[in-house]
Amino acid sequence: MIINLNKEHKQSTSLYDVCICGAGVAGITIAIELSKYGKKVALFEGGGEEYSEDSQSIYTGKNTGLAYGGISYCRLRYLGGTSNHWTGRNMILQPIDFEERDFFPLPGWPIKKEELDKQQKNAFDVLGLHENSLDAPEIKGLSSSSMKSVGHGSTPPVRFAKKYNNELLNSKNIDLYINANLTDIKLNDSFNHVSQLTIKNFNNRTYKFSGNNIILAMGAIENARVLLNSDSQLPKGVGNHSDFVGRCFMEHFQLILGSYTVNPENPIWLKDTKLEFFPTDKFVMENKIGTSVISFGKASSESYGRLKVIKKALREGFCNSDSLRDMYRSMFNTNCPGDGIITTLCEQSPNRDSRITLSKEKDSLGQRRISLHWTVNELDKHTVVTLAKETAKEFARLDFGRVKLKDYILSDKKDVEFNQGHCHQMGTTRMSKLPENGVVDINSKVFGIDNLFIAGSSVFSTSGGVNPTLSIVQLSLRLAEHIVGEK
Amino acid sequence: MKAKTINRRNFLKITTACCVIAQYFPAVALSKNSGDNFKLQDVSDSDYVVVNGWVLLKSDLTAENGKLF
Repeated sequence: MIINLNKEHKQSTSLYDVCICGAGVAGITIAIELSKYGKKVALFEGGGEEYSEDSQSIYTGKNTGLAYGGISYCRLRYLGGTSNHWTGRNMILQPIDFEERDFFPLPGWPIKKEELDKQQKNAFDVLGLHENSLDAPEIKGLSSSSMKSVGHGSTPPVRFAKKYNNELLNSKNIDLYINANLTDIKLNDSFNHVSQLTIKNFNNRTYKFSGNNIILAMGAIENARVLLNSDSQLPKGVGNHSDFVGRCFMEHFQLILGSYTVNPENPIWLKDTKLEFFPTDKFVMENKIGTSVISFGKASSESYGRLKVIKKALREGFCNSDSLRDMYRSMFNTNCPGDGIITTLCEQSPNRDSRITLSKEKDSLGQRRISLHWTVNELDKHTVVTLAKETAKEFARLDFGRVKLKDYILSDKKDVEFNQGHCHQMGTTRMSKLPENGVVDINSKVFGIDNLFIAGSSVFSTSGGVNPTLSIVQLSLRLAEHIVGEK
Repeated sequence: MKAKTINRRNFLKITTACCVIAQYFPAVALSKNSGDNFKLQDVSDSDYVVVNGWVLLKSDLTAENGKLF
């Protein structure tokens, strides 16, 4: 059943088995799974069925750290959430992600990879993947102790609201509330149990809901924001016993490491190979770095901005000339269309100083907006530079071609320019073994609160060097299984 | 006010100057940065050399025609 809180005013007196806040990938996955086991679920979506400025404007925030444009545009705030513009690329967290890397600033995942592997088949079904979709492709001639091939699969992206529309509207076990914005989490007198949620529509009318279990599934930024804003009883907010809520904001770095030219006689280029490298576990541990997908692609021919016609004409003029092409590349520090460029999907290490806090500015619902301070550390720079150099060396050694590295990789005088992510926002309510290192335990339950759980990428202990959606689905299915088995 | 236009003779002079200057850019870049770029930071790699940002095998430098591929 769908209830539009902007239009209907009936206050439900039901005590739900589970209240889920956020109807994106995680929230919808969990709601569908719980309903199969007869659990009565209230699923709250802050936006409506379609995009609206009223809802999307809630996501606006301030940026005080590295240049990052993705506070708002990376996310979509309506039914289906960010799955509504997901590209459909799937990868699995690698075994190295679950190994303890003591050179990382904080402990890693407190669970074994097998915990997620148990959910792989079901997660593949959710995302439309086949059993072998993510097998690592064989790359002829790739015999390396430092670089390997890694599996990735792109499918027609699943739009979760569309795929599960029938179940969401017609399941007798799911009440879907839209235009239903969580604005406060109220705890009991002992502060160890959620007793009530405050939900507002866009007319600022207030509703109260209760559930045996509560799950926050609103994404990494919004999960942290709601917990910090719920400070009427505890000044630091709910679940913030160790001051970790909002901290360890991680992205995947999108960097251009350099350009490349191919050896056309190498058999690897006979087919239309989309070459990607991934560091081996041995290389990662020996060099004390994070991981990354390193992609060999092509520079786009697109131009942007008001001067795009002029830019395009200039570029075509210079790039079509043998004598001017290299001068153009050097002068403007850019590439000609079709140039081979090497890009990353690079892991960021968990960093307490990279964080979300609240600004003084309030949104239309009276909630403080976020202030993002995205920052990196020396380990992240070391990861990028080490991987870039090794990539270039292996590319030459294997005679795939030759790589020209960017100045910032080779020169001590230039710094790595971290200014773009992949819209993979993670880590702000991280999972940990001990309460002093995180927000949720190994079952994604908030430490110290017996009925509050968190779903989605905000619980990631480390970011890995892979696209996060599949892992989000695996963790969501795991959480649903835990809740079904709990009571 | 009528926009100024460049006559054909001056246009050719400017274009020629750009082409002549362009020939020197790669050489200037190399000599300016050769201290930074001529070899990799980790000198233990004796099999590789960096020339103007390109990571090459040492054997590449002995290629007869000066071109890699």
